[in-house]
Order: sequence, then structure tokens, then C-alpha cells
Amino acid sequence: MDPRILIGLNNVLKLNNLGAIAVGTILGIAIGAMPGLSATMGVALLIPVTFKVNPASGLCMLGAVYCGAVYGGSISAILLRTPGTPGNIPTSWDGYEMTKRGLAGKALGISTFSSFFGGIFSALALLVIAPPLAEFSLRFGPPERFLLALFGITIIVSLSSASPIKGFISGVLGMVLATTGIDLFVGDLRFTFNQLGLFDGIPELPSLIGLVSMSQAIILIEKKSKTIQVIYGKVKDSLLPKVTDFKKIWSTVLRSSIIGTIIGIIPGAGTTTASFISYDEAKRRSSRYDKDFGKGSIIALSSSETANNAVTGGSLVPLLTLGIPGNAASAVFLGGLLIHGLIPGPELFIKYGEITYTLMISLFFSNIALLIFGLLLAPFFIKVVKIETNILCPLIIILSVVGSYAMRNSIFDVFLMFCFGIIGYIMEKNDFPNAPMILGIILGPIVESELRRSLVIFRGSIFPIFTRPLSLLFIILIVYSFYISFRRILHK
Amino acid sequence: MDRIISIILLIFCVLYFYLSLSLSIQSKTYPQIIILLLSFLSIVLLTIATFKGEKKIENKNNKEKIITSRVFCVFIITLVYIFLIEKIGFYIDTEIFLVGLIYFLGVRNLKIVFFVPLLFTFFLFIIFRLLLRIPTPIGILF
Repeated sequence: MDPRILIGLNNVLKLNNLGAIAVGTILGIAIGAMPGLSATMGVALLIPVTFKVNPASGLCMLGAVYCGAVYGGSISAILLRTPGTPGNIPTSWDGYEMTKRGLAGKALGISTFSSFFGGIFSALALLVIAPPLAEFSLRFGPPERFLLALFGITIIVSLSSASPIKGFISGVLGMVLATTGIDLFVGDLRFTFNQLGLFDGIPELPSLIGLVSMSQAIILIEKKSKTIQVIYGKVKDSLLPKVTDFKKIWSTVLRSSIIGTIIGIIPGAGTTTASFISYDEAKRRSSRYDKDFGKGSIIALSSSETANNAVTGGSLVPLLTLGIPGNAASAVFLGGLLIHGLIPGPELFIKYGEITYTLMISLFFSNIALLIFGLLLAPFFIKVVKIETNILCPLIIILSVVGSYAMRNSIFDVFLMFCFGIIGYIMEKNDFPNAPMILGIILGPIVESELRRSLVIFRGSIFPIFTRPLSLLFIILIVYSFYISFRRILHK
Repeated sequence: MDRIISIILLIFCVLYFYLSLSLSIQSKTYPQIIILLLSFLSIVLLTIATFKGEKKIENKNNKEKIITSRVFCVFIITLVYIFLIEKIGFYIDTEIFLVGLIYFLGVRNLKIVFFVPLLFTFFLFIIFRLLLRIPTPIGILF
């Protein structure tokens, strides 16, 4: 065994580092749980706090915040159908259904264990196979990123099986809206209506918060019913999953861990892409025998939560080895590293090896902390569900406002969030799924920019894309994915 | 309703397509392709809605009706709240909004109507101002 692993382990077990992990995890869970504050923001907000401590403890804390926040988002997703971070959106579908049936505890338990397994898996991958994985991340050029984003968008097809046309419209509308802003290649202003706030395009977070959280707040009060739990049955809720539950989800958890770790490694794809793709895969494989899929299935729930936490370790692979962040949160992490004088690359593993290995080992402990605190605090969280919806709605609206404001200190963003809230509500009432629109807004810009970059590299023709093996693989995946989804739609 | 929505979408497409005409060839190609795709889809929706009729959504679980006036009022109140944030300051505005909206929505237990907003605003203050140091708009007041 690499002696540096033992050194790292020894370091982490010191009281100050364990304390940093504990504090970081709790803060991360709290930040993640609030709709509007994302994992990226959580890490960013806590970097200044780490100034006052030594680099190792500071990094441990940041890692813990990262893991905690990605998990924390599942709490509000499950209890209120307002995902704390975009990566928890698929969690909210089945998780909230379980809450409505009085099974919030079970949902939280499954979510906690799933996040734990996903995080541990990716931490292991980071520790054991970082160098070869890093090389893999280098093979991703514009054509591959274009195809990956396109693949993510084809998931719109499978997510729309309830009403295909409306799903497509929602997705394509998202892509159209995403073309707003300055064209990065030529400099033209597209569809900005002279609004400064739109020059950078439609900001992702406010539009997401509006579509999902704000509209959900309104839905909570549109009828006279005062509680979230509407379906009462003779079910007994419990926090710890039973052995039969584990048996049911273990293959999903394993698969989702792999998906999440790989997507984390790929620069440009993050928790959102991972959770959607993982959910889609699970749906493909399990919906035949799992009748509950979409209505409260623990398989669906675990697929999403495992994948988004598996992104954490994966995203640190290219970051630590090459200095290329795997996603937005790890980009902020990069900032944290640089501030402490640690430059990513081979030096990080040799000269600063002690700190780096301490960080990697600390991820294991962060996930353990996540498991412990998640289960301990869950009974308190569940009480939220008992609060009258007339009180919850205004509180969610306030959190949505703060969340949209916090990113750019902009009231314009809050106003955008409000508009998307109206759009989201109208869509919900008319059976237009909002997930495709979210995918369109997030992935649309990537599809366009990477496609155009690829065309520049290929000097105008798209055919060289078939000569790249990785691209070829993606193209096959996309065609296959379309084929399967269309076949399923036509069957109905 | 589907028909109205598809017509609105078509109007949106026409508007956006018109706006894209003045862009350079490099930057307008991709948007125009997607706008055309959206128009096609909207026409399909319009066709389906016109000829197949619309499915009535059965509410098996909830037999309650949606109270549109409540929804509408909450949107208006929220809009006013957002508009006033920069004028009278975030914390004061939030406090008033919470008290007002909770009461409007029907909560009559005065202890809740006054103390929940107070507690929540205080909690927001601790977390955002003191802990995370995220600035919030300060208007004339606070």
C-alpha cells in the first residue's frame, strides 16, 4: 500500500481535521437543503472561512461541504419537492411521492445511504485510479463534449414518455431560451432586449429556482388542503432501510456510482447531468418490473442520489491531477487550492503529497459524516412536512428570492426567477414537464458552443467526428437511446 | 388550453425568428434551426389539440378545486414584494411580506402570524448577513 495513504489517514484522524469535516458536513447539508443555494455556492462561501485554518483542515472542510451540499439538496427535494440543488431534481419526483404517502422517513433513509455509497465509491476511485482516469479526461475534446450534451438532451425524449409532444416542446423551448446572450464566437447580442442582466444569457440558477421551487410554492397553496401528506394509508414509516430494500437497490446503486464518477471526471458535466442520466438508465432497466417508478420507487430515488454524490470524487480527479475542474464546484475548489498555494499537477502529489492524500482520505470521512448526520437530523427534517402549507409557501418564496439574488447580487435575477415561476406554474397545470426545459437551458449552450468549436477544428465539416473513437461511441449511444425511447413511446 | 398555448408558442417563434434576422450568419444559424423546430412542434400540438380534443385530467386523489384567485393574488403580492426589496430594504420588506401573506392565506393563529416571520427573518439575518456575509439590498430602511 502506498505509504502516503497511511500518512493521509493519520492526518485526517487528528481532532482538528475531524472537527473540520464535521462542521463542513453540517454546513454543507444545511446549504444544500435550502432551495437556491447550490453546492458550488456552498464551497465558494466557505473558502474565506478556511483562510484562518491550516491548508489541510481547510481542504477537508471544503470537501465535506461539497459532499454535504450535494446530499443536502435531497432533503428539500424529498420533503417539499423543491430540490436544493439542480442535481436533486430527479430525486424530487419519486421522493416527494413517497412523502405524500407518509413515507418521508424511508425516502430520506434511502437517499442518505445512496449518497453515502456514491460518495465512497467515487472517493475510492479518486484514491486508487486517479492518474489513468485523468488521462481519460484529456481525451474529451469539443466533439465529445458536444455529443455528451446532446446525449443528455436525448434524455428529454425518454423523460417525456407521458406526453411526448409537450416534453419536446418544453425541451426545445429551453434550448431556444438558452441562446439568449452574447454569442461567444462573434459577439452578437441575441435576444437580450437591451437588458444588461441577459447579456450573459439566462442565468441557470434563478430560472431553475423559478421553474421548480417558486412554482411548487404556489402549488402548495392553490387548494384549501393544508398539509403535504395527502394520501393516507396503513403504511408504517421508518428511517432505516430494511435488508429487502438494500437488495432491491444494490445494482442500481453500483451502476449509478459508476455513472456518477465517470461523469464527474468529464470536464463540463456535473451533478445535474449525472443524476438525470442515471435516473434515465434506471428507468430503462427497471420500469418494466418496478411499477412504482415515478410514483415513489426507491430504485428511482437511489439512482439519482447515488449518482450526484458520486460526482464529488470524480470531479476532483482531473482537478488534482491536471488542474482541470470536472464541474463548477470543483472549479471553485481549484480557487481554494490556489489560494492556499497549492498548484494542481504532479507537484501536488509529490511535494504536497501529504496534504493531497489527507484531502482524498478525508472524503471517505466526509461521506461517513454525511451518513451519520443525515440519519440523526432526519427526524427533525421530517417535522417540516407537518408544517401547514400556508406557512411553508411564503417561506419557500423567500428562500427562492434569496437564492436567486445571492449569485450575482441582482434583483433582475429575482425578477427572472419570478417570471419562470409563473411559466413553471402554467406548465405544471397544463401537463408540460419542466425537466426537459431545465435540461434545455443547462445543456443547450454546451451543445451549441461545443458544436461550433468542433466545426472550427474540423474546418467546417462534421464528418471528421466519425474518426474519433470516443465520439463514435457517443453517437452509437445517442442513436440507440433515441431508438429505445421512440419505440417505447410508440408502444403506448 | 393546449390550443391557446400552441398559438402563443407560434407567436413567440415568429417574434424570435424576426429578431434573429438581424444577426450575423454565424450567430443566427443555430437559433434559427431550433426556432423552426419549435414552430414545427407547436403546429403539431395545435393540430392534435384541434382534432383530437383535449383529455380531461381526472383528479383521482384530490377532489378539491383550484382556487385561481388565491394563486393570482399570491403572484401579485410576491411581485410587489420583489419590487419593494430595493426600496425599503430586504429584511423589513421580507418581514411585512411574510406577515401579510401568511395572514392572507388564512392562518388566524396570531402567535404564528407574528412570531414565525420574526423568527425566520432573524434566522435569515444570522445565516446570510453574519455567517455567510451575503449582502442584501438596503433601501431607505433596512
